[in-house]
Amino acid sequence: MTKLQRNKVELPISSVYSALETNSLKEVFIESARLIRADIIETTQTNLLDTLTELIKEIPPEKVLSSIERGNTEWDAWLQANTTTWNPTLGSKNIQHAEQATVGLTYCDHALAESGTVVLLNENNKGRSVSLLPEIHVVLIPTNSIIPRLQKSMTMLSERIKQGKPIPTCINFITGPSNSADIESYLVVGVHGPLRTIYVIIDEET
Amino acid sequence: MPLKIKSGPFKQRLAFELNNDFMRKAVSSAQDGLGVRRDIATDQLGEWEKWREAGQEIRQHTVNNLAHYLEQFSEQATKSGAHVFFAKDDVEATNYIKQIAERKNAKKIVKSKSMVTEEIGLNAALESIGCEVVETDLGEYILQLDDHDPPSHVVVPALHKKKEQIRDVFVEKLNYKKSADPEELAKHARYTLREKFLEADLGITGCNFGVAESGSICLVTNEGNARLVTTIPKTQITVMGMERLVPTFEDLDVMVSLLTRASVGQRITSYVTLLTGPKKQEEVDGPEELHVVIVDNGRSKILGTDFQEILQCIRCGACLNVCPVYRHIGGHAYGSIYPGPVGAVLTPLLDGYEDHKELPYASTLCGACTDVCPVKIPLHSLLLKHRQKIVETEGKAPISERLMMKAFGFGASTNSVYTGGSKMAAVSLKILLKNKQSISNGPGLLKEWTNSRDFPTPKQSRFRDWMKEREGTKND
Repeated sequence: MTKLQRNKVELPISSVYSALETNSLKEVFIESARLIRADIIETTQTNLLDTLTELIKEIPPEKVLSSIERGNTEWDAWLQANTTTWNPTLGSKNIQHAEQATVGLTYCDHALAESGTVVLLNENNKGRSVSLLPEIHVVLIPTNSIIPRLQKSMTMLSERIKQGKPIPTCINFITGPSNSADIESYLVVGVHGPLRTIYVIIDEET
Repeated sequence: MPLKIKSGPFKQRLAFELNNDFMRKAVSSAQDGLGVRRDIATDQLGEWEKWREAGQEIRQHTVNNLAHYLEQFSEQATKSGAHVFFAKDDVEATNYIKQIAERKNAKKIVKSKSMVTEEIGLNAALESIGCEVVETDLGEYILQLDDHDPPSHVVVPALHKKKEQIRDVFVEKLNYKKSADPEELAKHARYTLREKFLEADLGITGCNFGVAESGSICLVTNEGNARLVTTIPKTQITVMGMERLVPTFEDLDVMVSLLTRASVGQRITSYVTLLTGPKKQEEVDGPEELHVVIVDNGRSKILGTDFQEILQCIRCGACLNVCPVYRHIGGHAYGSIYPGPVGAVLTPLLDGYEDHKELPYASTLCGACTDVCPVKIPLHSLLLKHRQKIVETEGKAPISERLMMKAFGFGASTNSVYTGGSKMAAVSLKILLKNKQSISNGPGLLKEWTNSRDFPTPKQSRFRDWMKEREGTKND
């Protein structure tokens, strides 16, 4: 296809970059996440499983749905003991699991500091429903996956297209719990999607 | 055409809405609230004017090269496994969608919010072949339950409704037993609609943006219903106005950044969802079949005309949120599913002047809409262009205005007629004086003024005479 002539306007720079001169990506991310009513838990790689065990201790494994694959024996054992796993061979039964689950547990591909957003690329069978149907969405966010803003996610997608690589059939930019202001402009948190969103931020250790 | 929501003369609609105190209060408080939030969000982003310029360039470039990008979009979408259908009008679009529903034997349909499906009258078309169509956006759901009350805002469709009215509708239609608290109402809708999602055969969405380089559909939402519509049913149909494209993902960043801030003052909405093709075979959820219906319905006729810039619109509703006329008359008075400044420009273009010739006059031309538009559409200039066209080429100016203009033309044609006429005006207006202070019940055209405020007392003498006299005294 022919390339069209275009006089692109030079892209303006978001103020998130000035915030990042004095604060870390993690600090800016947390500040944005608080604004959109996400609950925040900070932990470390070492303490992660303990943190999660504590978080879901009152919820039976069949009510915790996860679609995380880490290829790590300790993780796999924990998932086996504490959660129900999104299992493609079970077909639409997974959706029923998701619908009845209290918690959906996901691992984000990256996160956006400017808006407190987590990005989930739904490929390799992660399941669209896991972050959508349960009442609580718990999403794991490694500190090193936080990037400044939407622009970089979009550039990454453009790059994939230019290299002729397919992109996932579904990509979700999720920012806090679902909400609506359709009744008298009053903000209701929790409508069709999760009623609560918990961000578990994982510091890498040196 | 389903674009039209109210019948009866414009003035009658106005009189009705002006007496709706709750609606007027709701609209002004929503305008104020959204305005503050928009200002905070745009300030926070920084360099808002530059962002607007970038948005304008993207949309102008796309609309100028629409055929190219439509071709690219449909090629890429097809490659990803979607079926793309171009519909020249509402009939073609609804017939195609009805055929899919029939082929899939789909009886239960869930829908997320979409203005273009309202424009083509999709729900009625599907109901005519025995489908149950459920609107799942909370605002649209409320309106649908309330015997298809039309939307009054492009983003907040049930803005004109009181929570008590909504409770009454829920009590009547859903056997609801709780209070008018928005939290309780929303929760009830959540549980009622969850059932509908789980049993639906077909999901229908609108489209905020189509990305030409990948054939992706971008949905910008807060409630999560559009995600459910595109996750559970086996078949998905997305209906897109033909102008809703951006060339690349990098352009999409700018447009989403502008849209969520201009529209509801959010840095980003709860969900921005990018969908490319149907689900892969090994994936569990998502539609097996995806159709994208691209709707012209009068849009291509706007290309190349004085009004082309209206096709830049991204339906953010920011112009409604600042318009002083919308503030007072609300959405329904416009008589179109597209109200406010954008509706006053777009409706006559899509549906003709005949039924909508008053809309370009429902504006003070203050230009607030133009100032706030995130893609810099010169809305108030387009309204003026409409007026010009209505008077000059369509010959549809109101008779009283035509007579008045003729009379003025005659009166101003020679010096003697003008002098005599303006002297007489002061005298004749005096007859109408109620209490020697002001005129409150004028005849003919003057009535339009005196309906809502008094007309000031004419002066005893004309300015010219006063000036002449004063000059005379000075020279003495």
